[in-house]
Amino acid sequence: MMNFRNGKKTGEGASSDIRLIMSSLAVLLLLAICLFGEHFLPHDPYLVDMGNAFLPPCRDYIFGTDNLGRCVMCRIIAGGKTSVFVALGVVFVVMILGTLIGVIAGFAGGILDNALMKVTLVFQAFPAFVLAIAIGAILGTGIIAGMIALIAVYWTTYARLSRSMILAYKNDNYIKAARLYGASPSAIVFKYVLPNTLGVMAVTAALDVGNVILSMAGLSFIGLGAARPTAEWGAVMNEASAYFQTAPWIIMFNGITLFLAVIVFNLFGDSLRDKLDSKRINK
Amino acid sequence: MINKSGDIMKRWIVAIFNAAVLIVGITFLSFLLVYLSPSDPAEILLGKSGMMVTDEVLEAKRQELGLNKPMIVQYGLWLNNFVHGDMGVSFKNSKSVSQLFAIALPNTLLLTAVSMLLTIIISTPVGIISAYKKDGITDGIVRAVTYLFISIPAFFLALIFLYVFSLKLKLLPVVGKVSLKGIIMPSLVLSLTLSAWYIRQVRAIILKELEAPYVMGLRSRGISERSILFSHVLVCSLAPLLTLFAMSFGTMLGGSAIVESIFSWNGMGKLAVDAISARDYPVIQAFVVWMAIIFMVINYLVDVLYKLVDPRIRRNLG
Repeated sequence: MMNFRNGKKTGEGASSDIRLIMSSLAVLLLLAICLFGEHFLPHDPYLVDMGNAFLPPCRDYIFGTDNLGRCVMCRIIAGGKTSVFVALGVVFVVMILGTLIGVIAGFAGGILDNALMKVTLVFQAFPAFVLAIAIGAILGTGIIAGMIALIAVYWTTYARLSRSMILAYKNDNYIKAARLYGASPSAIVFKYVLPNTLGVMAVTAALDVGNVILSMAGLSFIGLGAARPTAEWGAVMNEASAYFQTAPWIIMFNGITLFLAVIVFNLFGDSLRDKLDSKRINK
Repeated sequence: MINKSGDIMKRWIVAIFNAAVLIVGITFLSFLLVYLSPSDPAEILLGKSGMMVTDEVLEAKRQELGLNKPMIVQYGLWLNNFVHGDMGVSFKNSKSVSQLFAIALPNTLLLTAVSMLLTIIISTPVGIISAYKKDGITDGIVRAVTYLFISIPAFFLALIFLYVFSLKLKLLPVVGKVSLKGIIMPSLVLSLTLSAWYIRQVRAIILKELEAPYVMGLRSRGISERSILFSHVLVCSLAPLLTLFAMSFGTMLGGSAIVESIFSWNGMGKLAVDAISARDYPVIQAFVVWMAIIFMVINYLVDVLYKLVDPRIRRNLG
C-alpha cells in the first residue's frame, strides 16, 4: 500500500515537472512577444488611415482594421506590452507592499497589529471590483491610476498571508535560537523569516497575475485605467464595442488574446503551486 | 455561570466594536471619494442652474453646502444626510441620487439574486458529480471547461452572448428591460463565470469530505451511497459551502457593474459606469457605499446561518 502510494507520488512529480516547464515556456514566449513583438509589426499600431477603416480580416491585415483604419493585430501586440507588464507591475508591488505590512503587523503585535488588521478588514469589506472603481474614479483615467486602484484591491491578501506566516514562525525554535545569539529583529526578518515565506508568496503572486490582467482590462473597458488611444486590451475593446455590430472582429481577436494570456498565466501559477505542494509532501 | 455570561457580553461588545469600525471605515473611504475628487460641487450645481456664477454666489453656495468646513465636520454632515436618505444630487442631470437608486437598487438585487440562485443550481450538482467521478472522463471535461471559463473576462462573454443571441439569432432583446426575457442574458453571463470557480470549489469541498474516515465507516456498514451523500456528506459540507457563498457574493456584485452596463440593465452598476464618463461623483459614491453595505449584510447573514448550521460553533457561542 505504502509503496504503491510512493510510486504514484513520484509519477505525479514527474508530470508536474513537465507541466511546470511547458507553462514556463509559454509564459516566456508571451513575454517575448510583448517585449520584442513591436519591432516586427507590419504596420504602425497608432497610424490612422481612414481609407482602410473597418477592413475585415484579409491578407494585408490578418485581424482586420478598426474604425480609424489601424491594424488590429498590431494594436493587440502593442497592447500586450501594456496589459501584461502593468499586471506584472501591480503583482510585484502588492507582493512587496503586502508582505511588508504583514511582517510589520505580525512582529510588532499589540496596537499596531490591531490597527493594521482593521485597515485590511475595511479594504476587504468592499467587493473587490467596486473598490477598484471607487479609487479609479478618484484618480481619473490613466494607466498609473488604474494600477494604484488594483494595488489597493490586491495588497490585503499578501498582508494577511504574511502576517499569519510570521505568527506561525515567530515561536519556532530556529527563531528563538537566532534571538538567543543576539540577532537583531531586522536580521531575523530578512535572513530567516522572509526566505521561508517566499515560496507561498511567489505562488500566490503567480496565481494573481491572470486575475490582475482581467481586472485591469475590466477597468479600462468601463472607462477607467488606460484610456484611448492607448493600445491596451480593455481600452481597445471599450472603443470597439461601439462598432461591435459592424466590425465584430476587433472585439473577438482582442478578447481571445486576453483569454489566452490569462490561461497561460493561470496554468503557470497552478503548476508552480503543485510543485511547491509536492515538495512539502515529500518533506 | 456569571463568568460565562460576562464572556458573552465581552464577545458582543467586541463584535459591535468591530462592526462600528467597519461601518466608519467604509463610509469614510466613500466620503473621501467626493472629497478628494477634482471637481467643485458648488460650481457644477450652479452651472446647471443657468445662473450667472459670480465669486460671491459661488462662495455662498459653498457655505450652504458646508464645503468650507473642516474635513471631519463635512464627513459628519455627509454621514448624517446619508443616514437620512439624502445622498446628494447627481452632477449630470440634477436628480437626487436617492431617486435614481430607488429604482436601480431593487433591479440590481433582483439580478444578483437570480444569478446567485442560478450559480448554485448549476454548480452544486456538477461539483458533486465531478467529485464522485474523480479522475474519470466526466471529471476531466468538467475541470477543463471550468478552467476555460475562469479565464474568460465576463465582459467578453457578455459581448459574445449579445452578438450571438441578440444580433445574429435575434432571440433576445439587445436592451435588457426588467423582464423575464431581459434578465436571461445578464444573469446567465454572471452565473456562468462564477459557476466555473464555484464548481471547482464545491468539488474540492466534497472530495475532502469523502476522504473523511466516517465516510469509510458508513460505507463499510453498507449504508447506500445516496444516503451517505444526502444525510451525511452534504450536511457536513454546508458550513464551507456557506463561506464560499459569502465570498463569491463580492465577486458577483463587482461583476454586475460591467454586465449591467453591457446589457443596459437598469441597475446600480449601469448608473455607476455611466457616471464614470460624466465624472458624476455623487452617483459613484452612492454606488460604492451601497455595494459595501449589501456585501456586509450578506456576510453577517451568512455568519448567523453558519452558527445555525454548525452545532459546534453554536455551542461555543452559548
